[in-house]
Amino acid sequence: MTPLADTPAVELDDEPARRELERSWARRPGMYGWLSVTTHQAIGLRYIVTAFIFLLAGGVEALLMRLQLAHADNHVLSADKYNQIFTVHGSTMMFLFAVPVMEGMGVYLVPLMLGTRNVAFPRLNAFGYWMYVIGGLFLYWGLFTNTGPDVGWFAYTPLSGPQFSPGKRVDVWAQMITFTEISAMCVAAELAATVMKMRAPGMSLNRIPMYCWAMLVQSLMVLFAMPAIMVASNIFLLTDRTIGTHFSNPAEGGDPLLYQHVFWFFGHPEVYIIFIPALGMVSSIMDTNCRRTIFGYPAMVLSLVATAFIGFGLWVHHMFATGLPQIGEAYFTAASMMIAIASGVQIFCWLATMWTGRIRMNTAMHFVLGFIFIFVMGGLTGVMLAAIPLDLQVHDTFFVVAHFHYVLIGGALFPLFGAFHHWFGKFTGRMMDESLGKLSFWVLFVGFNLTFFPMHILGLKGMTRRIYTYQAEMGWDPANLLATIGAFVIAAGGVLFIWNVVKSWNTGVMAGDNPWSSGTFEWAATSPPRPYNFVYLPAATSRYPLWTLPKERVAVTGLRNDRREVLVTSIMDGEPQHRYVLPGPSIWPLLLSVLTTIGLIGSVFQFQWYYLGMVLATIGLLGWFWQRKPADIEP
Amino acid sequence: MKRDVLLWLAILTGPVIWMVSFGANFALAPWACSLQWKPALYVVSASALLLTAGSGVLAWFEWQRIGREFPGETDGVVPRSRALASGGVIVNATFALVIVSQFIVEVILGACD
Repeated sequence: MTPLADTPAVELDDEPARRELERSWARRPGMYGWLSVTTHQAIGLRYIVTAFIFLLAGGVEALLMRLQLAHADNHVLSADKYNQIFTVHGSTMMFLFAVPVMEGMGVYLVPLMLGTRNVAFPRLNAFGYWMYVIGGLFLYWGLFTNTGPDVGWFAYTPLSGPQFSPGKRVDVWAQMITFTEISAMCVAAELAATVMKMRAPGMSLNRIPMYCWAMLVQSLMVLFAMPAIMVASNIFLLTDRTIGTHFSNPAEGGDPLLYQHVFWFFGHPEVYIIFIPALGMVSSIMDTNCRRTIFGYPAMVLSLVATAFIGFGLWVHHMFATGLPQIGEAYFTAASMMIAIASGVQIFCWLATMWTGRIRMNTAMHFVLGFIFIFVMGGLTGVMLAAIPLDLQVHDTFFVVAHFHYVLIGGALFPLFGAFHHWFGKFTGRMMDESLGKLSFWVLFVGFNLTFFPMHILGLKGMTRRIYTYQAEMGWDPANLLATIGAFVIAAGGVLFIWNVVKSWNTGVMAGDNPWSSGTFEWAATSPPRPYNFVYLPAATSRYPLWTLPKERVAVTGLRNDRREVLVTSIMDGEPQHRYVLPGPSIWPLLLSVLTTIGLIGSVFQFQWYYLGMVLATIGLLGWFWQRKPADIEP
Repeated sequence: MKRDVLLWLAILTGPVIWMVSFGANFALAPWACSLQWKPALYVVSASALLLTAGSGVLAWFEWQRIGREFPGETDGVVPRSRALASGGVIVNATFALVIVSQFIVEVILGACD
């Protein structure tokens, strides 16, 4: 199936229905309305913009680190400041940028792609966003008050324990984790429910768009992985630090390795939590711009599922240097190598899609091709690191830093930038400038390789990560200088990208509903979408419903427009089951997040605040669920 | 409904069995070393392999029953069931391969290596 030459907007328009929907989905006026909004487009966009602000902050920290390491015996930053900066950089990129931005994209796009009006639990969605913002601000409050965490983004015990890290720095990190993980689990729950139960009629399991499959798999991974980090940071670390438990104290029967096991049981899947949505983005960009259906859809879906499962069996490959039994470690070597097969299936399917398609080389495709190049390099060093003898040689060196930046920037940031160019027209109603976009791609691509490729060599030469300076005799200056120059080239690429966003948002060419002649439902909505997405919910007649003939397209009728009503469908076949009324705007998600914050942040300074926080949060929940008028029930 | 449960089992048994056997073997490794007795590890791996292979065979027969065609995107219970059944075959084969790769480790390395 290929795009039709003339793919008109498929939405049936009906003025009275549209006016009624405008009323029932309207936002309340003023600041109160802004704070109480629960539509997925608004919350999704807030996630994306907030995450990009944190990306900028993390980028500035990266530049500071590169300035410090540009040459030997440098003193731009003190050792203490450097420790805080690299910790906040890692924590920002992992917890405040990568996961939230992927979830924000999902919150925005998934309901549109599935042909529904909102996510399954709109207020939970708003609550998750506010928790995320507060957690991020808390971390940066710590950095600006010299209470920034300084023990690395994984805060290993016993370094992070009360004996070696007195003060409040580590507590700030641990509690930031609580905020961001609550947020991530809120989004995961609502997206999983949305994909399973709110698909358009006719969208059976074998018709779900690849991006929605990716978000479903990612959401389920979040639900299984995130509790582990909350156990590690909140139960092991915080209680050791605040109420004197001994989870990590061997003298009292504790075990520091327990923390590492539990942390990496979350930490390794975290990589896939970031990377799997990017795979979905790549597939969406690829089928649109190769003007054909994605090659090997079933294989792609199965490889996502296999990646998710095997991703939970790799955690010990971060702990090869801890002295675990070798036979046990070798199980993880085998699993680490096997996961390359699942990733390889995806790569070959994309290559086949390009090989058999008619490629349109727009900016999004540039980023996708850049992703394939960089990610394959990162994947290959990953297979190298899965071999225990090599891992022991380069453990905690810049080789590892190079590897995970290749995987994460190549595997997530490049697809994300591609996705941003792809869907910008849908988000804003205007297209991004293609020339500027391609220029920013090449600057970012060159800058990225200039920064991170030399780090492989630095690692092999023995430069350990997280050192704030080094001596001239080590011979590490040239590669470090090159990496620093590369970092500023990346910054220049970032400036070009931001300039393009600002310029295009104001003066870009109008996008229209379906500027790329794509086949999935989000392109059937207006650009930007109305708060209710569609006047009539569409029904799926194929995997790419907009590539079927207009006369074959089907829409849902019979839903009430005077309230926020959506259709609930069956998990397997997308058969209509019943109508469901979504809640309207509410200030309670924000209030509940503030009340919860009082307990969570207060407990960092005095544990008793937890109790107060629980009482306050209960009040918040009562307000949230309080029924103001009898439910409008219709048989 | 029963068929749907069967199809989900066909898809999920392989990965779940692998995870359980993997966790069990990792936990048993220090014990196998202290007792110098590796067969415990073999038993876990062999059982996992058998169960995964069994689940794969189940998926294969289900696929045969529905009509062994490549899963397309047609609407309806049959095409969707075909997608799940053929997916079950592939997923179980993949995880059987993962279990075999870990079994090789057990055979090559000594209990205390």
